[in-house]
Amino acid sequence: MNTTFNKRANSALVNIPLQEALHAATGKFANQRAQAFESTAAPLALRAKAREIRRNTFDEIDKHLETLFESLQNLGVHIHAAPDADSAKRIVLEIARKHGVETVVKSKSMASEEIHLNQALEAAGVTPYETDLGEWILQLANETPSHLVAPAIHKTLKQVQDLFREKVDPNAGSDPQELTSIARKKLRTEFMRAGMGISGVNFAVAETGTLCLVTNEGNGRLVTTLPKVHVAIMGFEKVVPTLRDTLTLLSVLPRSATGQKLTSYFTMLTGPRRENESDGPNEVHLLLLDGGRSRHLGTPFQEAFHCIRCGACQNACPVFQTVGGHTYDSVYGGPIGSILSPMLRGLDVSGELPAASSLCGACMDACPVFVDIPRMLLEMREARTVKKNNALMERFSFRLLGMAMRKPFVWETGFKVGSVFSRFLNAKAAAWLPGPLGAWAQGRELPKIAKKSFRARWREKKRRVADTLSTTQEVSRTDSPDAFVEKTHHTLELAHGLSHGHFENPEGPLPEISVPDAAARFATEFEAVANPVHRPNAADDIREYVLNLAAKWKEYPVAISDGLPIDVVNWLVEEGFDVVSPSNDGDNRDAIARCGIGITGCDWAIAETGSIVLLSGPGHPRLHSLLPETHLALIPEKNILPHISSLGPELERILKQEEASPSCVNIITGPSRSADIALTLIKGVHGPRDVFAIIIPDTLIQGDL
Amino acid sequence: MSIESHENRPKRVLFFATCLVDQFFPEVGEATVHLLESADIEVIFPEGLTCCGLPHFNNGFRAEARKTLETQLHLLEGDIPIIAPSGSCGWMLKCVLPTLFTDDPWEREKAAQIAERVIELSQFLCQIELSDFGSTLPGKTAYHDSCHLLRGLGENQTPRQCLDHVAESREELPNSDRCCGFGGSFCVKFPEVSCAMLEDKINSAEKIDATWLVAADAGCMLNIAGGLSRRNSKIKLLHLAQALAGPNNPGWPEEFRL
Repeated sequence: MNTTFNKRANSALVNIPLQEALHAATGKFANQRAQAFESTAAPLALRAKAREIRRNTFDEIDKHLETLFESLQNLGVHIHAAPDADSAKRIVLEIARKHGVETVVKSKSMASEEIHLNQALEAAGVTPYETDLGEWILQLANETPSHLVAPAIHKTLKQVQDLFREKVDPNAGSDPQELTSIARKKLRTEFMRAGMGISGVNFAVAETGTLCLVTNEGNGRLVTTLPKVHVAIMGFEKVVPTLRDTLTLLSVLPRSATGQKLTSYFTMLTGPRRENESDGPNEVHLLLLDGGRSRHLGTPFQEAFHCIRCGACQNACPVFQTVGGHTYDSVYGGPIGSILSPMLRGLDVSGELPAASSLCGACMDACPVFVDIPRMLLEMREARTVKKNNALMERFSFRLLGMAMRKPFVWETGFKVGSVFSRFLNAKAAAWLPGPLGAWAQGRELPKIAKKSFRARWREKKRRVADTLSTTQEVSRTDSPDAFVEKTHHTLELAHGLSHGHFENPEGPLPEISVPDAAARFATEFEAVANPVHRPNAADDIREYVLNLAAKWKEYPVAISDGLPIDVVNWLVEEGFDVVSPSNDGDNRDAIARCGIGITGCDWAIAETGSIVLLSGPGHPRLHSLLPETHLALIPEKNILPHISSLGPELERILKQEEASPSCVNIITGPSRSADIALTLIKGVHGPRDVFAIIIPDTLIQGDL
Repeated sequence: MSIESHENRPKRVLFFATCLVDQFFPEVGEATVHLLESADIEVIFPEGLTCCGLPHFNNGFRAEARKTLETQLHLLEGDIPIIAPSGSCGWMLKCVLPTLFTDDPWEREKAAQIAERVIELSQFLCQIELSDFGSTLPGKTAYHDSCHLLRGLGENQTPRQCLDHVAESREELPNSDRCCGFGGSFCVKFPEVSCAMLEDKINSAEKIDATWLVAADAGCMLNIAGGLSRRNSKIKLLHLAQALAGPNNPGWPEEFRL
């Protein structure tokens, strides 16, 4: 029974700091997830809708991939398809070589973990920098992620501090905020000079060729904005047919992952930077990694591709909570990992993972798209038997057990014999036995087989069993037409096999929460994640507010986007501030990085989440809301939409147009943040520490935004 | 207990005792029979029944599970409800059984008809609206959600409703929906992980100082009982049927005699 999973599990079980971190993190995430769904109008309907989107996508995955490729090609994105890890690495290295890249900045990508890209880059003389705080810590420690969304949850504050002292700054303190500042400073330098950015993809929208990133720290934005070349790596499971579908999935992903309504940044990248835009990569590559995926299409394991990598199943799983991600010895741990790992790496490598589950079903309960993980664990166990991948002894024992079960006399006699033995065997002695008895006795007394079984007692009680069934009254049965339809339906369902869970698909449009006053709701939600919202009555109010805010960064210039709803440039210039305007000729990253405040307009705002939507374009650099420590958004009141879904038609209009579509749309919800060091929430990791908003009434708006 | 006739009550039910109850917890079977007979329902127990096939199905031996069930299908045919005092065996018969015969239209129909009649004990007791159990459970009762009843059959209400009729006081077990660590072969393949989960479960019960810890599945009981006695815990473990049948009635554990 000394399997490798057990060996790793046993060292995890005695690792006290790990146990504490695991319990704190998984418990916290699970609670926040439950709370986050309460803020939706109909959580189950929303999740069922999300599930439907995933199911439908994979029913016609070939069609959607074709659409995606066509959209990407129209945008000028280079598409590469890699059948395996080796070819994927070769492709990335070739791109790096072509551009003479020396350093690469990476934002979190599970696909790149899958192919061990960092080692390949290093071997080729290219230095990769992981920039997600948790991933960077792991890179410094030479470890692998242990959780889908919180890669370094297994590391304590003390361990991180020691690591920073050894590898980055010998004087590093013990405050998570201070450690984060060290990381910010070090990585900012790397962002500014890196020749290539590598990211993963959360959603790839087929109809527009938009690659979406869901992040909190802002590193995903920097990786896909500053380097000249952006390489995105993904498996085909990231495809989402439409923008509207994407927004629905976005409504469940952060809620399930970290319990946020939205993460700080939802970044939608549609092709390389346009000619009239001042920042963004000149060249975008999409690397589609197969890596053992396509062979599972049309099999019982296809449903595993529905996973949107939120990590909710890991937080809900009692086994994961007990042993942590590293015990699974795979990029993908926990319940979904116990399916994905053998799917991608084969049963010989990860075959024991499907057994390492008590089949309690908590994973499917927590999954935002109701992936039937328990069913697939069973299918995977079945595959092991069929392929003789499990132990010979196990197959032999179960066959023997089956034979006994089919002969009631043998079955009963077997237990009678066992009952005698069980009276003489105590747990202390049994603990030394090999096999299941010894394993049982490690922490439990042995169960006693009853001296007199239930059937024996029953026989004594009465002897009227033999012919009872034949005496059942014959009832003439009539089915109603409805019952007949129901029966037909049920029979057809059976043909599709076992399905866990009890959820109906919703009919009609999804219910939304009521937002009677969009501006007020926006202010409430914005303030919950960021700073107080200013709601002025007169232009002078705005002037005073802006100047006060700017005064906090007196020595620093102010970056100001064009076409603001109210002209703040003159006020600041009059007061002697140095103003950095958008450049017409490439990005002026160094100038913007020196600014204390970036002031932008706001194309739309979302009331239910307190989010600001910014489109890139001439005069609207991506970096203004990203590099300075403070971001101020001037929000025309009329631009506030009630719901995330209200953004669907607007995005369609903007991104589906042939001309002048923005290369980047950001949905910003609060400041740049991370809880990667000891679960402490830190603001201003890579992007702004503070975000302020002024809601500008229609009457005060001067120009056209 | 009232003996008046109830329209929604079948005259007769088939008792699927389950192999664990049969061989490890025969008292649970006695308690179930007591409950049903007191409600004026005749209990039929076909002795040829052995196991529902779940151990095989859950370990990837589908063909074995099917063979085992095939030999027992004729014992389960008929038109009376089939009562299982277990969420996992109930789930196996109700949800899995018909899927094992999808390639055989005759057997599939038979299996589907059987599956339709299967009902877990507490669900059945609520369905017949039994509220007077004629007993009281003194002290503090806490219910542990057995995973397959909770998520397999989607039931977390009926065990609690039933217990509320007999328990002097019932308190929610913290994390009652968290697996106890049994999981069939899981508990012997990964004993340390399983025992760590079991420890969490027992800690929860001790934290609220429960007198009785009630489970609805003999699988969980096997595991939890082993952990309780290893720890010499004062928590007393009961099957739902025993809790409902009540102290000193048939099926009540000898060692807990009040």
